Amino acid sequence: MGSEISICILDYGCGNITSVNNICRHLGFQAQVISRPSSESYSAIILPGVGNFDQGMEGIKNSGLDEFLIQNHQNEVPILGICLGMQLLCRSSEEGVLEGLGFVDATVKRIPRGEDERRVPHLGWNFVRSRNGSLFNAQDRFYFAHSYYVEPESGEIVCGVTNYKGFQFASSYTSGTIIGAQFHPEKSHHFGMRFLESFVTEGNRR
Amino acid sequence: MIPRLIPAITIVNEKLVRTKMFKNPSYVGDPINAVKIFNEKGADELIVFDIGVDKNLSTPNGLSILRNIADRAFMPLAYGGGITDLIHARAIIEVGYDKIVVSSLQVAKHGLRLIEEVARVYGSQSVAVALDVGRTFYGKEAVRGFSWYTSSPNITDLANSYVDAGAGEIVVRDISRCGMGAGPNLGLLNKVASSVEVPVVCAGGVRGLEDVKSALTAGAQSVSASNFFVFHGPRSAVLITYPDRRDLDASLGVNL
Repeated sequence: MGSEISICILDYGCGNITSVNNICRHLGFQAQVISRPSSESYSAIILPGVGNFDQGMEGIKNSGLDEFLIQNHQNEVPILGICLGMQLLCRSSEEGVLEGLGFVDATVKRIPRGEDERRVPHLGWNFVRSRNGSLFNAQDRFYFAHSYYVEPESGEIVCGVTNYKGFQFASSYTSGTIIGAQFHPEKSHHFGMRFLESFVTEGNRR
Repeated sequence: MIPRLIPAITIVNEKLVRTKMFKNPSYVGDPINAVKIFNEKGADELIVFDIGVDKNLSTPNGLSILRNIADRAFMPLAYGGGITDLIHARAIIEVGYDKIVVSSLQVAKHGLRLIEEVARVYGSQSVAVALDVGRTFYGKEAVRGFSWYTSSPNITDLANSYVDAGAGEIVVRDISRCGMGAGPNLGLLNKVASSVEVPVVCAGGVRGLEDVKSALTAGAQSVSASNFFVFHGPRSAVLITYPDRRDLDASLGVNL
């Protein structure tokens, strides 16, 4: 099964493509990194991302990958947005002035500082609990490294929540064929591998 | 939030070493093997320090050991050692590292722009600054990189200047304790942790889980250690280990 699946990883100048590529290959999936639109068809697309919102949107637009994403989204190819990627799929962000891709009905806000216990960035491992389904198992934990979080218009798209020192936010959403992960599955060893495997294999059973 | 326990490995000429206060390196083994083991055991994160004087971060060859490590690590990776500008940082990050660690000595030599530029391009979470504190001849606390009379009262201002420049994490490292098995410097840790608003890592002298707990209580969000994870078994065999996840959670009081 692994060799029939081909994953496309988008390189738009933001983020650690190498690790995403490594973990996909480690899982036995064929993975291809593209930095310009491609006419090939893929089983799934990963939009990684580290950095700031406007930089990310500029990178996506300048490379023409926004058109690529729109096309594939219309064709219902599953898309996984990781960290900044999850945020770029939303409508807008407090972090920047540019509009996001708008595939997901949500905006992005800054994590509120909480006295001296809740430091920003949210950096480190934290639990993700399932909401509206059971995508995550009990004790599932992932690596987070972010200062902004996604706020959806409707709680219905939230599939994972995380509590950071009393502040609860959507650490994962699913909207149609799109999944967002605020955490880094490529940095969450066996937890991340399981998450990626279900994204790729379940996404392709539709 | 789950406290992180972070192994730090030191390499010289592509070999894994142990040091006392970063001096007198003694050979331990193959770094790739160590990374594989930390991967298997689900280590929270890994820091790689290269203290070799011949290292070359400007060529693909010079980066090959770092690349080999990154290819096998599925947890967050940080690298420190010889980063003097954005070009080095870019090379390291593109090979697969999530953050770079620069020391107070490097910042003193190359300026805050070292932090500013990397943070601007890759985000604050990609820059950690190690505030290296040692002792003067007279036993006074002093920050490495400054003349001996820059003493304790300025340490928190210094830490905040790093944060203002964009550092997303401060590593509080008492050099006099690194590799010496004497426990971490909790007073220093507490002073810095209560004065900055970014996550703080405690490094230097951590012997075991009791030291980890004390460091977390003193204000660190995570703890880094080297020798804690490296054991010399019978007949000089070297064992690399990491606590079992359940024991670690139980010990640190982590629950869902």
